[in-house]
Amino acid sequence: MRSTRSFLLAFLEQAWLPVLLVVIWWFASEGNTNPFFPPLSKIWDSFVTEMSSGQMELHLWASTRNILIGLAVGVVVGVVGGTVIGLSRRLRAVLNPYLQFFRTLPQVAIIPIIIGAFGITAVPKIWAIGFACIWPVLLNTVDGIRAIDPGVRDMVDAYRITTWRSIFRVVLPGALPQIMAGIRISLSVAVVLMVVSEIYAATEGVGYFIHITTGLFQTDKTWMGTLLVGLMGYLLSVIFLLIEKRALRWYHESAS
Amino acid sequence: MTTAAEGTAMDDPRQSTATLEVRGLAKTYGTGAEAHEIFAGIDLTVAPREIVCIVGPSGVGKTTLLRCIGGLLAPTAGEVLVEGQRLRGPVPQIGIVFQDYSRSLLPWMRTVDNVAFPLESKGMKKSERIPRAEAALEAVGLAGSGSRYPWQLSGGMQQRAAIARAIAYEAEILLMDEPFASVDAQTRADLEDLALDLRQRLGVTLVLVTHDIDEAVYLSDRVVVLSGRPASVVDVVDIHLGDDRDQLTTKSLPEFTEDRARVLRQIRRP
Amino acid sequence: MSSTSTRVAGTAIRTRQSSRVRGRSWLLVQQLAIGLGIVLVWWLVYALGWLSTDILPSPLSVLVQFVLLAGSGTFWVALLQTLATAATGLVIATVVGVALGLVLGLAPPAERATRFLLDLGRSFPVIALLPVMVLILGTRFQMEATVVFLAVFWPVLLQTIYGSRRIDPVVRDTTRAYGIRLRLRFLKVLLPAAAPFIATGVRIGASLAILVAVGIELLVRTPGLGFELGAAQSELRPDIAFAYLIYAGLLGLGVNALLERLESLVLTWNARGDVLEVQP
Ligand SMILES: Nc1ncnc2c1ncn2[C@@H]1O[C@H](COP(=O)(O)OP(=O)(O)OP(=O)(O)O)[C@@H](O)[C@H]1O
Ligand SMILES: [Mg+2]
Repeated sequence: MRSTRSFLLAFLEQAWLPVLLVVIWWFASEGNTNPFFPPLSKIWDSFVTEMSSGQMELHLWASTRNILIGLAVGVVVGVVGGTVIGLSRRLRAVLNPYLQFFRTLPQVAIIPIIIGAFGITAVPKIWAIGFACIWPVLLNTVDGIRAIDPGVRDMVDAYRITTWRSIFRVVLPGALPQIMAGIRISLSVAVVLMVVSEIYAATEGVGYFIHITTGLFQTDKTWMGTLLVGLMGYLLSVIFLLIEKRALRWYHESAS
Repeated sequence: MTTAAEGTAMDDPRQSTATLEVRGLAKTYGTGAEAHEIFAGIDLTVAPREIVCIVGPSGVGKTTLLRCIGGLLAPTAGEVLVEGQRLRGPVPQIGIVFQDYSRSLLPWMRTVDNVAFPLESKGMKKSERIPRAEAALEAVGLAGSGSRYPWQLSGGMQQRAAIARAIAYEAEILLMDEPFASVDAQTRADLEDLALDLRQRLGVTLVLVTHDIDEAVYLSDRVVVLSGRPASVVDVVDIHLGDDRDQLTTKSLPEFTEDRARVLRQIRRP
Repeated sequence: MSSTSTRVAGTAIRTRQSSRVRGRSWLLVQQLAIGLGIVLVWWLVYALGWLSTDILPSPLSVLVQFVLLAGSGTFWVALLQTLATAATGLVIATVVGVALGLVLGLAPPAERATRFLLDLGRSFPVIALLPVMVLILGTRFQMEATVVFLAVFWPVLLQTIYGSRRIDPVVRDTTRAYGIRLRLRFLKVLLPAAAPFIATGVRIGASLAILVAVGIELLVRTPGLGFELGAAQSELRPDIAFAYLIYAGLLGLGVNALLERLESLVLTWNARGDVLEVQP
């Protein structure tokens, strides 16, 4: 009873402003004839029509697929590479300048090169997203492994834990909080690259939808697509946070 | 006193037969101008089932010596023999209990899995290693806490879990570096009695580093005093307090006071 | 005895110094070897014709373009244009983001009311707003700076909120207990405590600003590095495109290094008068 009330209160405290803003937007834009700012009601109408025609679904699916596959590729390569590099002080020192270069490279710059080379289908886009996602994960994995307590290393030595087992049961779990932080950065990189690659050259996807509707001056649809991409980014990060919370339960609970 | 009840599965005594020999051990950190000789010419033989405490002023090199004995650190000269075999790295006969229990237990594993982890690495089946880990936990008075995570246990309980890990590993020689330094006085007394009890029931050998002279005298058959720079063994004090010791009576015996005074004198000696 | 040890120490110093120098140059040699290895693999892929020359240029042609670009006016103008866009957006975002972040960090109800908006804003790929912004503002510099600002604003804001809430409660109570005035509390307690977090936010923001600026130039063909890169690629000059790509990476590296340098300068100066340093 009490908890329901406090939950409701917390919800109200957080919800009043967003709701108010949407309401203001709705009424302030109503009857607006400026073509660049279509009424929110019209944006909503175009959302309903596009969704019921089934077209929007395909765009949404194409974008989500590219993000998820690209991210998965980046995470696998990043974690494996980061583990190999993180375990060797020598390798870390030798590769460091190259890793820093790739981390600070504005990743969108690879899009024209990859799309120019391999065409406007989905696969090159996934390549580009995957490539960009590697670096945050890789560097965070290296840092996470380096930060593992020397006491843990002593334990592994003293009890003669085999190398493979120590990698999977000690090193990777120990670095997991950092790795997760890296994946989170990669997720937002992936969304940005998805949008840019689809606006740059594509035949499907939400970014593509935004791009063609702009060309056709269907501003209500452009706005709708833009809001949808924002919502997509938000939902993906919410889902990721839920996964992270589960995976790192020991970490959050042991800290408190 | 919360040591385990009689008649547990761990009661089958392994009765350590391993002798530990240290011969002419020396360790120097760094090279050249920064070379820092920590200790040199350390000779020490520890018989099976013996409890030996190493005491000495802070920074004298006790931790370094223990790490060399445990095979975690290569000595610069000399050798360590376990059952007559020269040590080249950690061996299964030796279990190490670290001072900082909170760091040596892995927070992402349940306590019982932490205890069973070295066995898992040995390739032991789950059906075999879990009961053994449970038994080890019981032997240190932690029956029923295995399903909890280390960070859900108190400091003393975590240190017991770390000891249980060494026991489950079937180590015959336990090396402990200030194992009871970061717990409160009551827990400390309990853990000291646990150490005596483990020797009594399981027949393990204990080599213990401590700051606390009372603790050293109370636990030991022999107290090894390290001092100097580079450090060497300045005295080995034989303690004759018998096998049955308890916190109250033993510590008020005149022999206890005498031995304590002797160790103190050796440490203070310039 | 003592004379031997001195002699030993004397020789030791020499060997140690030379070994340290040797260690450092050995590392450099290894790093160069890795670079050469990458180029060699690249050259092999090129020479064996695994990829069309329209896709993968030869390393040598890229090197030539890399050098040529350094002497070309187009390149430097493009670099400055990208930097101007990124810097304008970053500066505005820093001013607005820090100010708003401190307010939100100090007023929990305001922070709660805006939490959803913050989460939405942080995960919103702002570059998706580009087509809408082009409709509204046209392909002008103001449009570019606005989009960069909108993207960079979030990390700065969030880091500032985070930093201003990270004040040690003990410090907070101490300053309260001693009745330290609001203005002083703001300047001497809140700002220094939040400064490291703000600095991180600005550093994240700078990388993002360059990325977004390049992205805009690429997509709507406003002048800058992104535009030149895209143009080179569509003119089937991958050698030039690759050279621009390497410059883009070096730009990111340079800006990052510069900000790290600046941060360490500003923050050490700050830490001297930092209330947080005094443990109560
Ligand atoms: N990795 C290392 N490299 C160089 N010197 C070291 C290293 N580890 C320890 N030392 C030095 O060796 C000496 C002995 O250290 P050690 O930790 O063995 O002392 P200790 O007797 O265990 O001290 P305490 O009682 O404080 O734990 C110290 O002077 C220390 O500075
Ligand atoms: Mg020590």
